[in-house]
Amino acid sequence: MDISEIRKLIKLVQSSDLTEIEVTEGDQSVRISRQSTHVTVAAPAAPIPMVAPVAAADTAAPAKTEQIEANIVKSPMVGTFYCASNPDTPAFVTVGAQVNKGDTLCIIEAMKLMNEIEAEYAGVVEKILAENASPVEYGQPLFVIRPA
Amino acid sequence: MAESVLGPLPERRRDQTRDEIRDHILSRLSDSGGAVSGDVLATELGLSRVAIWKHINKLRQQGIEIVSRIGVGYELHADLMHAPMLAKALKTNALKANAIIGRQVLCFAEVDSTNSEAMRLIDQASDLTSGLTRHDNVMNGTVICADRQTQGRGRLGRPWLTMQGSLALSVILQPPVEPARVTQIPLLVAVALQQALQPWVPDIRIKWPNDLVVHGAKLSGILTEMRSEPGRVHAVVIGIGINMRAPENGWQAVTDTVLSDNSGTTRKATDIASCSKRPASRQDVAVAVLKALDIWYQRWLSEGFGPVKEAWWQHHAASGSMLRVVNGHDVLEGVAEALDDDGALMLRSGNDLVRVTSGDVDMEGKG
Repeated sequence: MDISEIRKLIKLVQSSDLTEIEVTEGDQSVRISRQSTHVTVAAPAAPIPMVAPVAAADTAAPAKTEQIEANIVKSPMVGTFYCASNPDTPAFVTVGAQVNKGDTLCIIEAMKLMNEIEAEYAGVVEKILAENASPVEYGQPLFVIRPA
Repeated sequence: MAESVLGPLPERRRDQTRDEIRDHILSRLSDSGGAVSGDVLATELGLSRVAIWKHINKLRQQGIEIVSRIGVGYELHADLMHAPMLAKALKTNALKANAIIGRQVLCFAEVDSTNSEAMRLIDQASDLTSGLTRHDNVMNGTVICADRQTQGRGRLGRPWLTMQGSLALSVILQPPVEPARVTQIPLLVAVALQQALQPWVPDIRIKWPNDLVVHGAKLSGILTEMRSEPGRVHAVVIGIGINMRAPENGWQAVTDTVLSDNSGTTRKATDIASCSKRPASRQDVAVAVLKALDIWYQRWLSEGFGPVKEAWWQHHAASGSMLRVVNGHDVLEGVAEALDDDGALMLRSGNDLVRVTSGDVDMEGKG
């Protein structure tokens, strides 16, 4: 299964009322799900069983945790966190700043690859969780952004 | 060579555009290696000598230096970076039909930085589309080069000085891989550059992760930038700067004044002309680099990081020897023991094996 097929599946999920789809092809399988908070379901009560993510089911306060989880921007790779494009320029964002989808939030550097991390949705920066020029791990939370 | 391909044109074709006329003039001047008379150009294009002269003047206004030699003809002042010529060279003597790199070639007389220009082009392309089709591979393989670069950049805003006649180009790639895998690309580029430049510079070695050095002096720098979202790469821009010849007063004066970055690393620079016995034109070097890059990129897509990793380690200047990594205020010393699967350098320091993913490598006296 290649990226373009997966992309087609994502489109399919987006253009429907589905919240989750799992497709198996040979020994490969892919599951695409979306957070229910982002979906405006105008449709009937429960045509599809609401499949909660397994991790959420384990946590004590699922509703609250999920809300916060959804607003966290995580590092896509191991590397060094930079809040500005160079030491002499202002940070891309500060706490309280309004960001739009596609705005650069920070740079993660690894092997001299400068990875610009963009905001996935518009919102307000509530917290910056990493320090400039410090190492970050894969999946480490970097920002909390409250959706606008 | 060009005559046998194109043949003299008996009269001007009505559908000949200005650009086609100017491209023909430039190809002829470039291929001849010397002067071409206005009469010959006029005959070939079915134009008057005055018309040729007007086109030559327009080309000069675009920043291309063409010298008139009385009684001989027109001659290019220096080697040229010109999109149609570069595209033609890539098609004819370098790349296979299924090449990815060089599908589109753009040359500018002057830009701030070829990487910045590449990023602007990606933004423009994404403005034309929307939603999930954003950046949908329309820019994949695009090459952007510039005759002059006024604000060449290194990482974290460090200046990259593009001397007159230096080679500055950027390549846009849109690989269908996880963003985390893209950390392998800087090392892939180093391997391709090492291979491409070796015919001119036999002693060329790699310094982690992607500098090309000759006896410790920097010949080429690479700046790789990525735009991505979780799970998906929008675009990777690879900026390549290659020093072609030394500045008038030598490299020392330049590196002392410009590179005051306090990184504590070796700041010596060198250039192809100083290292090579063979003359090198920017176009020849650009074609060699892009060809090697395409081969290694396609190999990486189909075979993974294995072959890159092996070639990198073989040409690394300090495999198995001591080096120092300066990372902000931290200094780490150790023996380079291996390359990890994401491109990190594994450094043996006492009993510890440390993964290096950032910082400046100093290997004074090595390479």
